[in-house]
Amino acid sequence: MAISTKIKERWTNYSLQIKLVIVFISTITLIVGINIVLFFNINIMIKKVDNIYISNVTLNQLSGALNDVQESMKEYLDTKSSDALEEYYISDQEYKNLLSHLNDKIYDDEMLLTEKNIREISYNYLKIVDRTITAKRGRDVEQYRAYYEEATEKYDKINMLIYSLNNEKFKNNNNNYYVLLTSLNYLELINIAMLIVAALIDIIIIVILTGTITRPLKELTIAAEKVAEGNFDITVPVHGSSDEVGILSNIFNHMIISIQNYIIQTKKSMELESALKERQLSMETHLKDAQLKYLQAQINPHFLFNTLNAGAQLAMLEGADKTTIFIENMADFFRYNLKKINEDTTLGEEVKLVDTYIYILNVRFGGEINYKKNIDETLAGIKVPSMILQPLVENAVNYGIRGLERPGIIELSIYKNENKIDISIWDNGNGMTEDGIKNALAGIAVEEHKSANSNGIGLKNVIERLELYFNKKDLLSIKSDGIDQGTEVLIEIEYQDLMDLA
Amino acid sequence: MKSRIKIEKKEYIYLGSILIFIVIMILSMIYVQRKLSEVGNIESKKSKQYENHYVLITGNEDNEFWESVYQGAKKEAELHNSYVERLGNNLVAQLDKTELLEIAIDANVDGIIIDGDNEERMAALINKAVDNDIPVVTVRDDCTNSKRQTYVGISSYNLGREYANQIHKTIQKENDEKLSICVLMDSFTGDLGQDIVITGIRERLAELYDSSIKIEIEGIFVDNSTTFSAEERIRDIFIEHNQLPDALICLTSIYTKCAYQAVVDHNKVGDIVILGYYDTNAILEAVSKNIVQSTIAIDTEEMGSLCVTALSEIQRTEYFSSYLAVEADVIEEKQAKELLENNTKE
Repeated sequence: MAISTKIKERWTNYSLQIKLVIVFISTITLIVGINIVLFFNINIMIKKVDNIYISNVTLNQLSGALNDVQESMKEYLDTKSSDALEEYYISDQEYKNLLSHLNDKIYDDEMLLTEKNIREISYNYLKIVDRTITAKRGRDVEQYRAYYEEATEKYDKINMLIYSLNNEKFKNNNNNYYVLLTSLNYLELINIAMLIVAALIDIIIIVILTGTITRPLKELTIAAEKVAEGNFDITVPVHGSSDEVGILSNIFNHMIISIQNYIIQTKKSMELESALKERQLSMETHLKDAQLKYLQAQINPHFLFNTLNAGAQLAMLEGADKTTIFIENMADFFRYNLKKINEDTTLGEEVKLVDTYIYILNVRFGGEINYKKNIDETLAGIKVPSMILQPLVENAVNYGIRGLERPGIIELSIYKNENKIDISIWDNGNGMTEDGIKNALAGIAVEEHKSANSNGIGLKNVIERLELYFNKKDLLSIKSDGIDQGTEVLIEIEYQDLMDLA
Repeated sequence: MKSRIKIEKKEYIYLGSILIFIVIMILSMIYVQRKLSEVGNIESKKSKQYENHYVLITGNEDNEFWESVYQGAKKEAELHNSYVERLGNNLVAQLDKTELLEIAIDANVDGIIIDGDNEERMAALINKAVDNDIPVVTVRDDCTNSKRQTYVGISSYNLGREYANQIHKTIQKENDEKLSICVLMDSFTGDLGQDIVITGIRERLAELYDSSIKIEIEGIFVDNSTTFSAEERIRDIFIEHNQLPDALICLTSIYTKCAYQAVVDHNKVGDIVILGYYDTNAILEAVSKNIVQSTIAIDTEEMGSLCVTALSEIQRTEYFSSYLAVEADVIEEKQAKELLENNTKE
């Protein structure tokens, strides 16, 4: 089997052309080989047949030549013409020539011995004929008559012997002919059998060899069809073949892998792009939303701002200092709103806004809000989106300590906590249930108080803007121990996120 | 894995069919070659070359006898590096002995063995052959008045005496009775040997039987110059003769066969004693059935072999014997049965 695998290995390494050439050459060789064998056999047969009958032909020639000698001698004796004499010499020579081909050795074969006898008697006969001719020339009538009779006697005997030999040979040849005929019949059968077998083998060779050539092609076709249907998850078996089909299969496999890789990459980049787009889109949406709300609110602040400025000047002229400060704070508050809504701001400015807001509220409600600040001043410069603290404090006032019997406290703390910056707005007010916290974080807030004391920016908006800004979720959390237990809103910003933004 | 097994199966089929094909091809080639070489064998077999070319010339009758002589001669010739041709065997025309002898002389053979007779033409041709330095040996029948070097045959005189012994054994005669004997003789040859046979018979019978018994010996000449005449002539004996002879002595195997057939056909078995010549199976059969009382067995192969020995002697030396005797045995019923058994066994 080792040899066969070796051959197979070699076969797989041949190129398609060579494979096809081998197929054709092997089949042609087979057929040509068979034909040569058949031709060879038939040729031998024909030669044999030739050999068999050539002996008869030779003997007939001999007989003819002998007849010529006898006839020419007779003619000469009759006419004494020089033509006849010439003819005699020619025929004598020819007969001698033919005689020289006859056997003159002693073999244990009756036919060969008969040849020898014919030869010897013929030489004797020719001698007598010669004597007859000489006697005729010498006009020795008695002599040449006697010689002529003797010659004729010998002539008859030779003829009889030749005829007998011819007959024997013919009998013998008939035997040979029958042997030949039977072997010819067998040969015919053998030839037909060989041709049929050769044809079968040819077919087998062609089927097997072309099979090895076309099988990979078929597999490739099937694979290509699958790819055309959109199934990239296949490979074509290469069979280790290094012919054109093998190379094509290899390339096809490479191509599929490349396409697969390309698809994966494209998918990834598309996902990335769409995520980016989504973020941008949502940021824009929120901004638009905030802007819209701001624009709605803008009408009030501008008018209020101018009015308040007029009011502050009036109060100064009247010498009402407290009123002046109040109005100025009011003006500051609205100015901040007007100015900062589009921009990033710092924690310090945010805290200032809360201060102004609390002052305004305290003037409005007669100092009932107990406001405490606990601020790490080193963190004042940290960049944050604008309008995040004031809405939270506003919520604390509106939902926390509004209508509270006891004095309400609001505490704003900004401090470092390990690698985080914590911003806490705590109140000692109504507190929240778990459901309430969930709803608030999900943005399902009751908006009944909005018109009166809000600048229009709710908790949800703050959360979303924080998340967009830092590109991170769960920055804001709400803690409450329950109803009347107060609420703490805590924003945690990691230094890492700040660094990323920078 | 499955497909791999499949491929291997295919390979086996492929290799197997190619092997079968090659075997068929080789077998056919061998067969054809063998058949053709058979043809060749018949065509030309120049197996062995010899130094001397002898011919054996016999008449056309009594072929079985002569064939045996020929085989003996051929075997002996082999030892002397010679070959004996049986001239006239395969000729289209039936030539008589003298014509064949002429051919042999013209063909310059190295030696002639011939069944002789005492015709003048025969003697002349034998003399011509001897003059042409071709040694001539006569066999069975001599040509006494020729220059032939050697004669090989049984002693006719002794043969005659032996026949007489056989007659005496089977035919008892009282005083004054007549004993008539017919001897079937070759009329054509004028062979002296046959006369000597009769002399031998006559002399021996005179010794064996009482002198008061009248002994008649008639030589019947069977004209065998024309074909089939022998058989007709022998039947004539049975038809023409008013009284059959006591014994019929046949001097050739053909006469023996004819006599035997005639006795059976004419329902004369037991009425006549037939003494045969030579020991072919048919004659032995007749002897074993006691239709033919006895026959003479000649060692024919010895006869042939002696001829060739004589020829080579003549060629080699000037000294050669002019007569070589061949043993003759009498075969009776008992021996005939044994011989037949042996022959059938062989």
